[in-house]
Amino acid sequence: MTATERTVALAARWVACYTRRLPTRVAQARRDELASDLWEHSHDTSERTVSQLWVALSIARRVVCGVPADLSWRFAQLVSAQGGVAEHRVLRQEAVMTMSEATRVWVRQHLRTRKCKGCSERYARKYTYCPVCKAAKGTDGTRPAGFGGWA
Amino acid sequence: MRRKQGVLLPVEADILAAGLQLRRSGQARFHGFQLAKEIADHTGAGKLTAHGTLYKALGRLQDAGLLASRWEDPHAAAAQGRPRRRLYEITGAGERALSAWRLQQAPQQASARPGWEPT
Repeated sequence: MTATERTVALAARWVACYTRRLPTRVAQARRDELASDLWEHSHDTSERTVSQLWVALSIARRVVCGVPADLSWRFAQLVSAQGGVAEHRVLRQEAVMTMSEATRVWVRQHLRTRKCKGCSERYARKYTYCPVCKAAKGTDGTRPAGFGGWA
Repeated sequence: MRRKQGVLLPVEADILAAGLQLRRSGQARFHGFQLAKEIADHTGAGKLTAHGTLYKALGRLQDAGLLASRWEDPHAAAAQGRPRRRLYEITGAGERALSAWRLQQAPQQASARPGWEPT
């Protein structure tokens, strides 16, 4: 996967993220429009002559600089979709939903992984030892006396 | 703070000017990326307008009746192996709004925004 392809994939994920829970027609139109733009940009011959990395950076810059406008567009769409609902209520709903989603992701991440006492890396709970420093579960990686070696 | 009705933002004026420029060069309908390139070429900024800024402004211009848009035939796009484009065109109201904006901005535009030639 090239740098451009990775950046395009990340940009598409961001579009999917800020168009979630919007009316289907509006969300789909924005996703289609951005998919077209990203395709045109990544296949633009005038920029391709520079380098793939340059194109990737250019796409990334357009995504990052557009984040405030994307969020305010989303807010305006939510307000218009819930016609008659006061803006502060929509903003409160958004804040609650974002907080709950962030909490859900954080909890899931921490239930599925543990932090190694030896190297501080997080690794999946299904492993009985740290794949990075090979310390056994719950130990700090120091070898007990008489221990012959790591399996 | 809400903006006054009928007032163009600089990015909206750039979009309309780029659209008119494309029309003069024979492309009456244009897509978002084409506009971003045209704006970058003529404002001398060299950087393409951010996605969020561009498409939000396009939506506002369309809501105000200054631009019209239609989706390209999906079969034509599929035949060329790319996603379908949303094609925009400038309406008469869009041309008039840009002319009015240029008249308002003329003194500042001469020094600060040299890229676009009034027509």
